Amino acid sequence: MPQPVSKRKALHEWKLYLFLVPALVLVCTFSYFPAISAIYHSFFRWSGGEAKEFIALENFTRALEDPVFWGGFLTIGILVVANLFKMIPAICLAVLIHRLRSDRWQYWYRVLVVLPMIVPGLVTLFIWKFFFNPNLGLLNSFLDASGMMPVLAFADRTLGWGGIFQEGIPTAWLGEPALIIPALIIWGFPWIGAVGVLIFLAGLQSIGTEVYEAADLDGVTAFQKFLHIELPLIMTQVRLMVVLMMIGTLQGYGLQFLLLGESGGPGGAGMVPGLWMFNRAFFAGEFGYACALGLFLFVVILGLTFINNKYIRVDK
Amino acid sequence: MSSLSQPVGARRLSDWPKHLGILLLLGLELLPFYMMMQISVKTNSEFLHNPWFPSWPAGWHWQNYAEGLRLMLPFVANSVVVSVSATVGCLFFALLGAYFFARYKMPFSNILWPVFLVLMMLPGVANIVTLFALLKNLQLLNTLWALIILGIAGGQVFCIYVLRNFIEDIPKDLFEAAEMDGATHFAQLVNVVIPMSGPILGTLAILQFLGSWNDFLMPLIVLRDPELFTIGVGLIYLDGEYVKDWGKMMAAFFVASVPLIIIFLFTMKLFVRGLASGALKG
Amino acid sequence: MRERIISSIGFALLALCFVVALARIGLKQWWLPAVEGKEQVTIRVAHWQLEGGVRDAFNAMAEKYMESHPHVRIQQLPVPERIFPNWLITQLVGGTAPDIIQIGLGMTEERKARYFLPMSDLVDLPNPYNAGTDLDDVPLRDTFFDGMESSFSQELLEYYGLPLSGFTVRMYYNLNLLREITGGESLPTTYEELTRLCRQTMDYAKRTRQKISPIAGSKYNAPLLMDRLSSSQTGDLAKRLAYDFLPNRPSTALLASAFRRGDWSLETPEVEAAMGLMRDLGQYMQPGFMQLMRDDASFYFVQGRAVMIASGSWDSTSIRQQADFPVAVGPIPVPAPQSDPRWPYSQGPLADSTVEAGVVMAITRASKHPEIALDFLYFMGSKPVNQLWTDVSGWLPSVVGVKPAEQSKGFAPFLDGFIGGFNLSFSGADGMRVYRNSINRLVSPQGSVDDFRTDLAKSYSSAIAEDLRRSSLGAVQIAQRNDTLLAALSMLAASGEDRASEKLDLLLQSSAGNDYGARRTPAVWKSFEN
Repeated sequence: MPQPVSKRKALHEWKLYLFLVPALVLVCTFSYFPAISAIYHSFFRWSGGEAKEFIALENFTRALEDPVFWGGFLTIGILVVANLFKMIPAICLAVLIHRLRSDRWQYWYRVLVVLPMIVPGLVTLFIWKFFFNPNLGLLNSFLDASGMMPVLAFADRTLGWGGIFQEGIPTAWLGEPALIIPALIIWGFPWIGAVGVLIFLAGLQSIGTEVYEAADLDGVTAFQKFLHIELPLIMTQVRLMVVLMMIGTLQGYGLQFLLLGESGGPGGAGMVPGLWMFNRAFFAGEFGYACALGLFLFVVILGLTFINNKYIRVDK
Repeated sequence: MSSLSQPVGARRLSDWPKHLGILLLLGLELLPFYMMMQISVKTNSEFLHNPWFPSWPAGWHWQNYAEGLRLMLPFVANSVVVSVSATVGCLFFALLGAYFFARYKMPFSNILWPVFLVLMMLPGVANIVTLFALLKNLQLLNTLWALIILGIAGGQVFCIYVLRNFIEDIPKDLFEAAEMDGATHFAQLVNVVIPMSGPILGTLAILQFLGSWNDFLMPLIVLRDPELFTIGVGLIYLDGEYVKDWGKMMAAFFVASVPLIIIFLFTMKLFVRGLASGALKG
Repeated sequence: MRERIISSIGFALLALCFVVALARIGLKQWWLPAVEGKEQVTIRVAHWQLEGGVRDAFNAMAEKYMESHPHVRIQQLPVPERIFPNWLITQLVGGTAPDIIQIGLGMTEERKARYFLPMSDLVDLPNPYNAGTDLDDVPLRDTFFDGMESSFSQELLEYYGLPLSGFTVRMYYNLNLLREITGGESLPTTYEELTRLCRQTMDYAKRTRQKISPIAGSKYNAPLLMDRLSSSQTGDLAKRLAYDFLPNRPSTALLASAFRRGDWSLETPEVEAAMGLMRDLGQYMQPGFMQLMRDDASFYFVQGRAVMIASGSWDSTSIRQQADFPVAVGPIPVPAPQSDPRWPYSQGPLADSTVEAGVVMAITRASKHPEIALDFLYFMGSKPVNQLWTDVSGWLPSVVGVKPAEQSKGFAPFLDGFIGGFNLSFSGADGMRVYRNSINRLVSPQGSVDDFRTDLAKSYSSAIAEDLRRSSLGAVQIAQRNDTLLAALSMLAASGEDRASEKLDLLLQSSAGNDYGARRTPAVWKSFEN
């Protein structure tokens, strides 16, 4: 705990305030000021320069009726749910590593888990974009080689997917509107993030071996061990990761921009609210409207975070 | 399944499924890396005939790397400057700020602390629009400074939060001893805090560095001159070529990863220890 | 201990990289310019033509210019097509725009007016760099094969920039495959011959069990074909609806308002014929083509999986570089009049005159050295340098009398023929988006014209309205800009400023549209700079 300090001592230590000044200035200039400026400019028709025209709530009413924007929320909702499921492999891996008997192996695996981070996320994304290429990409080669293509084609015909998967036709993962969301979900398989795994492992550390021994004596299966011992104890970490993931996914659009371009790809199927905001500002030149959109997004995310904090509590 | 009374051999045996599972998952995760490496030494037609397996070492096309270097090296250099500067700057100012909050409960610190805390929860998604206008007014567009400063500013909140918790846990007597020796606060910071905070600083440094390395949106809208491009922008431009020689592209991707490889090779244990020590208990 | 050493080596390596990189930046940014002296001027030229040969052509032109102008450095900024509109906005709004930018992608009339310098008063004066050639005293406008129409903005009544190249769209043929399928090398000259070749290809593919498509399509290449087909049916319709100053091109705004008024719709017979025709040829493209990108189609073609691909002269160098078979080039035929009752509205063969010159390079207002930029622009648009351009890039030239490179002979424009009409994506960004979303239903085997029409009709009208709204807003803003100038000039003229009334007259004249490309003296032109 920081030491409480008497007024006299505080005056004597006034120089300590200087320590804070740079950080404060940076944060106010580059985080608070843009945010306030964004709120201010959302009441204007503004194309980025000095000229702006006050139009009061027009941007907001337009945003409320904007189908692309709210459609984007649906897409992003699907992605958030998908990302929830995509946390599972990381948890599994952490549990698997944690349950190893040998500490030496645990250590080495910890190191190995970090290894994939060598490839910067950006490069991984481009490599995956290459995987999705219809002619050269590995996803299609894999489907052909493993015999999954005929299965998908069959499912396509019987379930009426509209001819997305057909034998002999290279599937355009990033070109077919219906396949875009699956592509956004599939990318990054097997979805193990080093940071996540390590954080979960840290949480699992606190479980002592006696608990396991007691469980063994009771004849508990491996899966039940997971449900009743490990999962509850890492819930704080899980919750932390869930919150971070939600905020990140909701406001994120870099992934969609790189894979699909600034219009969200064919049919706009990959359009997410953040991308639409970016599009309106830096593609259509409507900066004021983009600010209004950003504001809506901000409110939505804030609301969800609030709900998350209030209602999803973790009991020990 | 296993208990203490079982012989050692059998205990290790029962770990096999776990090892298999772990190796499988890790292997899959490393797939992009493997693909990048094996494609980078092939030509387009070689790749078409043999997409999955590496070609014979005798036939490896090292000139792809020459091209990859030519394409990516300038961008890598710029990224190194930006990322290192941003990381060092961020940690420096964050240490100062965290020290302020952790050392004494100065007047007004209970007003100033929420200023930082609130930002952690505030999604700054709309900021990019007005940030662009701000940079324009500050004449910082088309400079690397803009990226460095933004990197520093962006990392302050998280780093101060983590570092504050950390510094608070340092025993007070160490500080008092230094103070009695007549050390200024800055000297206390250097002599007491920094030696103890190796792992946590290392972890934060790596996270900051990675964040800056992978950033592409801000550089894309800020930079105009190709000689200033960072990796993010460079990769986007490469992706926009009409004719793509994938061998050369993959070699370029590898070049973009090299600095990270260097960093990870040497600081891997630091990072692992830092995260494992539960420093980020949230 | 060992760990410590390894970590130290790592950090030392990183520190070394950092210092080296920093030194490199410092060198380029501060030291070299200081050494080269204050007279060094850098002119930046930006474009999106990443096709084969073009960047080399720009470099060649830049080098030639720098030989005779040692204090100028020309830097080329190629920007990928996909991010060009984004890039354009950030540069223009951010004030960091290069001196010369290619006009086209992401451009609106409003942006032209706001950010670019018009050249209108210079179009009647000769190009100084044409001195000594047979274009010595010819006005600038007439030195280009399209009369600088590609630089002319109808809404603004100003000329912006100079074109460097001509574009025509042709069908590329894989001669090897053609020989195998038909036994000969003659290219189809009528629409019937074209569709016959397609059917022959399908038979051939079935017979030899190879996966070969007649035409390689993509969301980029297919419209080139389909727009042309569509134009062949809508020529007369356009003439009736979009009466206009410029006979070459139906005005977008007029067409859009005609649609909203109900003067034409998706059920109009000509439009329906166009849709049917598009479907007729669309079925010969490889399955799933609408989802593919431009390079996917080229890849398909150069790998020998399609006999034909429709593309512009801009791809000729790229395609020839990648293909290991001989490539021939031929015109894209449209149905002759009265040849088929399903599409009876053709007027005849389409001329290439609707295709204009391209690679229009214009000077930005943000340029710090507009005179030097203008000089370089003149340089690029002069006859000798345009010859250099065409020789290095393999693209068509824009200047009259320049001989096209050997390989682009097949692209020489046909000037005899009818003017086409329009295609369904005419209105703008939203119209294009909605059209692309539905086009699948027109061309896929399970689709049909009715399917397409029903799907398109859901959002077509509102998309056209949105595009119209945006462009009229832009036009209003353009007029408003001039209003301030008009007001200021009238006040000045009233107070007796001598040149003010002269400027006022000219401005009123051109605003009233009496005179497009109003002739103004260079001095007055300079006065409109910001």
